Amino acid sequence: MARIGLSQVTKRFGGTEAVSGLDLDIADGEFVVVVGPSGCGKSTLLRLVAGLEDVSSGDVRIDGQVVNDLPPPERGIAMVFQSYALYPHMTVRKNMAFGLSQAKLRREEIDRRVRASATRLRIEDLLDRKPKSLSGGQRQRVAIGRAIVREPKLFLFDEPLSNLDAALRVEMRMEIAKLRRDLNATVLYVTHDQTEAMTLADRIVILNQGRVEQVGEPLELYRRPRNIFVAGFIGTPAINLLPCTLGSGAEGTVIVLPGDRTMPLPETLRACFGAGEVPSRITLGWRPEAVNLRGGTGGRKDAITLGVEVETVEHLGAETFVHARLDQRTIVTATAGANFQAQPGQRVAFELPLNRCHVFDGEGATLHHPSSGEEG
Amino acid sequence: MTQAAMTGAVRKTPAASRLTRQRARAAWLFLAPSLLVLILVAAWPLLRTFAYGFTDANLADPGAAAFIGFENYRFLLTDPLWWRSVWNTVFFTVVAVSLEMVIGTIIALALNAAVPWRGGLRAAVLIPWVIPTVVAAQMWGWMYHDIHGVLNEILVGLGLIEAKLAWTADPDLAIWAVIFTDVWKTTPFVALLVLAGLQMVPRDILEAAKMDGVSGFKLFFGVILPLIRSAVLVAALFRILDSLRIFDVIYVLTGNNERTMSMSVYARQQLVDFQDVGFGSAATSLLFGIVALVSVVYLMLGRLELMRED
Ligand SMILES: Nc1ncnc2c1ncn2[C@@H]1O[C@H](COP(=O)(O)OP(=O)(O)OP(=O)(O)O)[C@@H](O)[C@H]1O
Ligand SMILES: [Mg+2]
Repeated sequence: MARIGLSQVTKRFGGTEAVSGLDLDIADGEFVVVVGPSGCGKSTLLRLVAGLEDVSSGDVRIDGQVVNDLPPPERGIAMVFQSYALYPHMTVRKNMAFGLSQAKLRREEIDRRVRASATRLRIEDLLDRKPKSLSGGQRQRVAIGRAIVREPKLFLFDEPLSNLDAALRVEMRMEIAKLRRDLNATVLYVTHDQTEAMTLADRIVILNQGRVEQVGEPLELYRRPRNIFVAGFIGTPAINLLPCTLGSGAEGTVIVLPGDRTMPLPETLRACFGAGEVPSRITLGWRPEAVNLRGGTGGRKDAITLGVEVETVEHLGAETFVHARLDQRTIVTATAGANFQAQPGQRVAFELPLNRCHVFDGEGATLHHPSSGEEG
Repeated sequence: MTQAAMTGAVRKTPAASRLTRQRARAAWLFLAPSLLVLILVAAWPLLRTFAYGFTDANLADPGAAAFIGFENYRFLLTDPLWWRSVWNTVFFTVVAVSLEMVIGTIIALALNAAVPWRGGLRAAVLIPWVIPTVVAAQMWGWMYHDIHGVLNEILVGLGLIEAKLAWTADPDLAIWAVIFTDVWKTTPFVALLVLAGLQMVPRDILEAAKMDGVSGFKLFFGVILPLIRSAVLVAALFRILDSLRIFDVIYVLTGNNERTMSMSVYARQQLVDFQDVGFGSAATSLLFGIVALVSVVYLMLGRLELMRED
């Protein structure tokens, strides 16, 4: 187990900054998941911690000690690669033992560790096989086994499950969660998969263009995103975002919704701006599950009701996603019950309750989010 | 896919086999021109050479040849000069190819590392390879020259040797002059093939090794070499086959010198200098047989090795 500290870590490749002034502290035994769009610097961050890349500036600390100049094997870190990166010409046993024999461990000790982690990962029967003859899931187990035998202070995973099919991914995900409980290890884990992030993480780091957008517990990021990027990144289907403009009309401030629908600014929204000036542009956001479907029009007073045209209906079994068009540029998604039926082209009404509305200012920073009681 | 093949697939006619046959026919059709050319320029001369090997044909009048059976081969196998040339060829092949493989691999490793000006260096390394062999050999011939050669000039100047040496004429030195020239000339080829292999090595595996704390010799012999094995084997095969047929470097540098004479030089001497087409053809046929045997054995060993791997 180890504490990891990154302070003002920057990595430049030529002219591009892959990681810019990143601060992050990981507690002993914590499972931190890094997510972000492709190319945002997730792998680079991992490789900086591993020592596979040198930082351009800033410090990487392990247990308080600066390790910027420490070569990878001396950092006490094990890494699991997306491509498994097994040595193709060695048996599973040899793959797992290779690093240990390099560390000059005693033969019996190596044997003991290899057998122990093979048992833990249920790959005892594969020990004398070559990677070529293993399935993807088995290879992934071996790769994890190779990391475990080193008894590292910190595990790094770079999209370890992305080459597996959906069912296997769920299985391996649960296994990693269990493994982590058993080993009580510190883990830094990169993924594209939101479910992985939400289910495995103690805390999630959202990275965008080399910068941290937000760090927090999974539900906190979901409920209280700090800005529009985080709100849009976490959650599937994605949050519905309606860019609006504010202006003054005859009866005070009015809000113009997409589709040029103008209405008086509801009092609930007005309250978000506090005493300050009313901004000219804001974005309103509703999670799909916050959107109610209405048969008729004419809605509640504490909600905005939109007339929309159904585009596609996705039945997932337990629930249904309804994607509907508000105007040329805007699609709004609602979650409906399992038995919801609608034809494409059909007009329906979406009711957006104001008490479940996220409000973002013109720059995308959060002005207001619903209190968690209402969200849940 | 051709039109015919497509309709075949769509109609689901009784046979995938019909589709297969159509494809096979198309394949043969496409291959025919090159096969024809190969037969004309390779197979036919080869057969003629085999045939001449059993006659007493003479260069002055090849038409007046009489069949003499295995007489040429009987004489060939008892000729000490032939055995001398076989030994020279084998010695040259083993030494030169070993050196080329080792040096070529080292150069490839260096080129593969992130050195500045990598592109330029790669091009520069190739220069000896693109110079025609005869030109390169002649160039080295001048440099080796005992009186005017730059090599003697430098070595004497540096005080490394007392008197100028006859690099290509001295019986003990000549073979080394030949080997050195060949190594200079063909190492870039090996380096390039090995480099291609190195570039196929997945970065993740190298990094996994790095995390495992593997480096230096252990990294090369334990991880990298097994991964580039096939590239190395192919490079070695090409070099071995070329070396067994070695002619131009040796002939240009040392002529018919007995101490450097290779099998090809021997065959040429019989055929051209002694006008003995029949005997020269027999020697050439035997050389062909040896080269073919070596490649078959080598490929079979490689195959076995690969199977052991699995
Ligand atoms: N060795 C390198 N040389 C130059 N640029 C690099 C190098 N490695 C990464 N980059 C750049 O740094 C940025 C971040 O790359 P990185 O691999 O960390 O992204 P990522 O978040 O892991 O993306 P993905 O989700 O696609 O794996 C990218 O713009 C990439 O082009
Ligand atoms: Mg990546």
